[in-house]
Formats: sequence, structure tokens, C-alpha cells
Amino acid sequence: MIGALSARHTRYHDWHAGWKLVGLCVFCTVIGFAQWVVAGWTGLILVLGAARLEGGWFLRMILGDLKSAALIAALIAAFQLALGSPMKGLEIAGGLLACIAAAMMMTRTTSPAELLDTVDGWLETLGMNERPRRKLALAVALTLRFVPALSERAQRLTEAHRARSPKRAGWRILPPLAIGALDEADRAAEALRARADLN
Amino acid sequence: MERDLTRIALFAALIAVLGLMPRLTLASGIPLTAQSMGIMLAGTILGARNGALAVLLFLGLVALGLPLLAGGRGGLGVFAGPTLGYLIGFPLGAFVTGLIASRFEHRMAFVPSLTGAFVGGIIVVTVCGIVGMAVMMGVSLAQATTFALPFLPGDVIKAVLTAGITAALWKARPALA
Repeated sequence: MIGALSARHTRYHDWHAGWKLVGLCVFCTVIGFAQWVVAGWTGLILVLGAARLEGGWFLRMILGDLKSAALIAALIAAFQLALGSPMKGLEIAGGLLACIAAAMMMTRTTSPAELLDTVDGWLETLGMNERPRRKLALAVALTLRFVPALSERAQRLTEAHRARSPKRAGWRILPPLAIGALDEADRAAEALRARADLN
Repeated sequence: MERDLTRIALFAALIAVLGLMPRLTLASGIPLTAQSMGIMLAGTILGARNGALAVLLFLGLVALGLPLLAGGRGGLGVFAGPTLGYLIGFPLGAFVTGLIASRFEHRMAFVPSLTGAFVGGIIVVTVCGIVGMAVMMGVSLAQATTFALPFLPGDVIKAVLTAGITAALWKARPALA
């Protein structure tokens, strides 16, 4: 399974995915509505403190996830400083980093399958029929199957192009990639029609 | 039914794989990733509804934590960043791309695909991106527009490539249209 789930177990892995998702929504909403510089930075310290409870390795993992966000936050803060409102820049940067850190904590400790089960359970509670939920689950499974298959096909096409031309393959492999992929999708559709009743 | 489902899943995967392809850098120094071309292709090849569903499925998987966005990003965190507007614009862009292309007699020919990709894949996505940046970064719309402008030449190149690829697919598989 492709994903960002931490292979090393933490206490947060044992928390129910649904509660984590609700907690994340509440956290981000509170940070978003609190027009207060301290709110975002306090939230960030709380999240990083919670990560530190698991040890330095987990804190470093979350800090690593924040690298590109930190660059964007710094740019926002610098831009707001140039506009003459440094506090606004600090408020936005703090809130942004706190929400992204909390979301990455959740992503690192919850498998996509758990999250999908949670969403499926919520859709069931909301009264969605089994058929569309089944289709959604099947679409997710097919996509996860197609991603490595397409990557492999793209790699093979690139190598074949490289063997025949000194030019870089680039976009030239896209038409054959798309044609081959569409044929594969149609074969998968035939197989589904033979084995599953989606109508 | 099954064919629609597998094609939607396929294009969600294709958008992901295009994000993994090596990025090009324009002469201006602006990096160019192929992922937004996947959004345009979903609209021109699958049509408005299925194209938008493919993009929504892709974004759903990103939200579930799969690192499928360009640069290997994923998780709910990306929905809290300044690119939120672009993420909202992606399914809308695919829908408008397909909708506009379908107004022509042969929706997968070069001109309909180019028109659809230009309006849906560039204008709609960029407008959503600019509004998103203005809200998330606390800047004015004019300032956010200046951040988005350097990416437009790359987007035009991607729209032309999308139209070329869609027309080539139409020639190879006329039944797709």
C-alpha cells in the first residue's frame, strides 16, 4: 500500500480514525476562527508536544513533513511584513503550520483503509445506499491498483523511447500511455461485468 | 456502468502518475509539473461528469493520506495550505473543460479540446487558485494574481499538449468520443 503511514507504532495509531478526523476538523476550525496570533502558535506547540511524547523520532518525522509548509509560511510572513502588518503574517503562518502539523499527525498514524472505513461508516449513517458505497470502495481499490501499473507502463515506455532516440521522452510517451491505459481499464471493466453486479 | 467506473479510477490514477513524472523548468525558472494536465485530460477524454468524478476520487485519496500530489504531498494538511483554491478548482476545471468541449460537434478534436482545456483547465482553475491564495494568505486578489501569473505560460503549453494528446487518442480510438 502506498501511503505516509508511520510503520513504527505510536499510541495515536490506536485512537479511532473517526475521532481523530473529528478532532482535526474541530482543531482547524478553532485555529481558523481565532483571529489571534497566539492561537496558531499555541496549537503548533501542542501538536509538536504531542508528537514529542512518542519520542524524538516521531517529532522529527512531523517536522520533516512541515519543511515545505514552513517555507510557504515564511514567505507569507515576509510578504505581510512588507505590507506593514507583521502580526497578520505571524497569525496566518502559525495557523497554517498548526493545521498542517495536526493533519500530518493524523496521516502518519491512520491508514488510508481505516479512513476509508470511517468515511464509509459515516455515509451509511447518513443513509447512503450500499450500492454507491460499494462503487466508491471499488473505485478506490481500482485506482490503487492502477497507480503502480501506470507508473510501470510509463517507465517501460520511457526506456523504449530512450533506446530508440537521443531526445528526452517527456510528453511523447503520453499518447501511448493513455491508449494502453484505456485498453487496460476496458479489460478491467469486462472482468468486473463478468464477476460483479454493479447495476 | 463498469466501463465508467474503471475509466474514472484509471484517470484518478493517471493524474497521480503525472504528478510523479519529472518536472520541467521553463526558461523563466518556473517549474512545470504534468499533474494539472491530467485534470485537463480527464475533462477532454472522459467528459464533464466523469472527468470531475475522476478528479474528486483523486482528491479523496490525497485526503486519505496517499502522497499523490506533485512532489509526493498528501494528507489533509494540503487542504489547509495556500493551494486549497487550486484543489477546489481542479474538479470544477475538469467539469468545465468537458462541458465546453462537448458543445462542439467532435468533442475530442483538437480545437474543442484546446478551447475546453483553456477555459476549464486554465481560467477556472487559476481563478479558484487566486481566490484561495487571497483567503489563505490574507492578501488582496490583485496581489494573489501576481503570484499566479508566472505559471500561466506553462499552463498554455499544457493545454496545447492536452488538445494534441486528446486528438491523437480520438484518432486511435474513435469510439471514445
